[in-house]
Amino acid sequence: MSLILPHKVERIESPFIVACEGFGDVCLVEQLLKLKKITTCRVGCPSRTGVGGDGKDFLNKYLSAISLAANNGAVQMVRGLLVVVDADDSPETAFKLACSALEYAEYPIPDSAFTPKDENGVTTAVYLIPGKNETGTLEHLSLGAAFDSSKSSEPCIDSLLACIGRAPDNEPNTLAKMKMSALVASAFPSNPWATLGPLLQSSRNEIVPIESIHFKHLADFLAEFCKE
Amino acid sequence: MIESIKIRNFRCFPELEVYGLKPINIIVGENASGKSAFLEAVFLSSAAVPQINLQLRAWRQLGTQLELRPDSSSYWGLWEDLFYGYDLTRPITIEIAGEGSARSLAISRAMDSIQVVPLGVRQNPFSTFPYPLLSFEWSKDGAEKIRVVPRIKDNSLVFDGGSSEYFPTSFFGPHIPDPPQDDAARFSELSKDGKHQPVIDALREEFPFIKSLSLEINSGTTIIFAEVEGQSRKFPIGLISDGVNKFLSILLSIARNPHGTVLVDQIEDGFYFKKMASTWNVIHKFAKANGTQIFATTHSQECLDALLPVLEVNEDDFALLRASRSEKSIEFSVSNGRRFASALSQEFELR
Repeated sequence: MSLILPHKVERIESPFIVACEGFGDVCLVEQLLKLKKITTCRVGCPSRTGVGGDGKDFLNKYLSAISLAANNGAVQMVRGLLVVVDADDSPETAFKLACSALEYAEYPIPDSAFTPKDENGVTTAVYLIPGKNETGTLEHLSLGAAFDSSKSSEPCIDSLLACIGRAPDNEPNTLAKMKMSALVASAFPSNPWATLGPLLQSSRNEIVPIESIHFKHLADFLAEFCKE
Repeated sequence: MIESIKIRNFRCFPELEVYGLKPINIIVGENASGKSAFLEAVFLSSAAVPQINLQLRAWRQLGTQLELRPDSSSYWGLWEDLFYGYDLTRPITIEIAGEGSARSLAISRAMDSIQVVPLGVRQNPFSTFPYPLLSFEWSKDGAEKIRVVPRIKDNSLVFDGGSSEYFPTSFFGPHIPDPPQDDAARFSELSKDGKHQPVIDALREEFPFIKSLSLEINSGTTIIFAEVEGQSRKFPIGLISDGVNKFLSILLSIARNPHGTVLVDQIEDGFYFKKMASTWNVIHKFAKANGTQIFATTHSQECLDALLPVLEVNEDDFALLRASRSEKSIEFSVSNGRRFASALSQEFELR
């Protein structure tokens, strides 16, 4: 198990950490680590006390907590810390927020997203989802993978949302979340609380294939970042 | 305030250096990771009287009934467990740095030796050979060194010299409350100086049903009584509650040790969990007002969680010391208040 979840972490003794803003990102990263057979990395997100708010707001405390848990006497165990956040409407704003969390926790601050910064034996980097120079969220990335895998599902979902008449025209993040919810519901018909995270981790996940080309950039970035 | 501590060859520490200490220091770690030994090191360095080791022995359940014989094994049996690995050849040193708190203690075999030859009694001839004694040497800036070499005489321990006022410190061991006379004495001294009311106010902040405190004679012993709301007769404070009694002991020690240190092993004992947050709040406020530094150990996550509200708004006043044992040594990692608060708010396991 590579997850760092509340009530579990005592000491962090793996050399690489991925800190995500939300549980969905954690599930994706964990699956990609498995896909790439990376065993030296643990992944987590701010605690459940953050549910209901924006995960980014709790990143500073989460990273600071990681720095405490990674401090084993005189030895700093963590060699690499990757922060994964959604770009949302502005990659620049998202990057600044990730950097301010790193600064709060007294970790090195990268000069730009996707570019690791090495300082005092610790490497940090910020990865913005869905990818370089893009706006959006984990749902955008996952929808890409889902619709690639099942071409017929995209117009189907579009018409469902058009039919129920609630699809907002000018809120692409909300729209993406609505589409993703519809897809997730189809995978877990008996679980009204199912979300993207459990779907990504489920053995019944035939909707968002982890091997998709849409996740390749993140998977390769993880592999490169966690190189011994 | 103590800012750093270096300990060598004491109890379980071959060598330990701890920096970044704050006004309130919370010590966590599993059993046998050196938490209590750390407090003992601070305590021994503070009161320049070797006999406090007898108190530590009682807390450690090493026996309180001593049968002292004038021989080496009887003498060294009292002290050898202070030395790391029972190795008496390497001196113990405890060095404390910090503005107004710098001091050191060295414990080593002295050049002095003693030979006791009781007359008229058949003796094991070996027991009358001279044996080396132990030397305790305290130093602090601007004061003369204090050297004490305990001896056995007439089946008693004899200490020449020492100063219990060397550096103001109180130590609360686990499970065993301070004798009620000690608290009565503290209260009395504060009362004589007109400084007892802030203690009562702080106590009432946590336990408002207590209206006032006074010293009364109970079966020939002077102890603290409390006037309780709705009761016409006063009660001995110990009869009201262990938690109230312990809280009062801590408050009295803080007030009696301004700019000194109060050490509390297993601070959570006796306190109701729902009260713990306000208990921390009062302890922090009262210690800060008196300039008294606190070192407290805990095994309780509830106790740590309850600290968060006061910690979050006073990050600079707190440090977390995590003790851990490895095959070779014991390490203390110190985290500042910001990291401590973050880890608590993120529900990390800290004990």
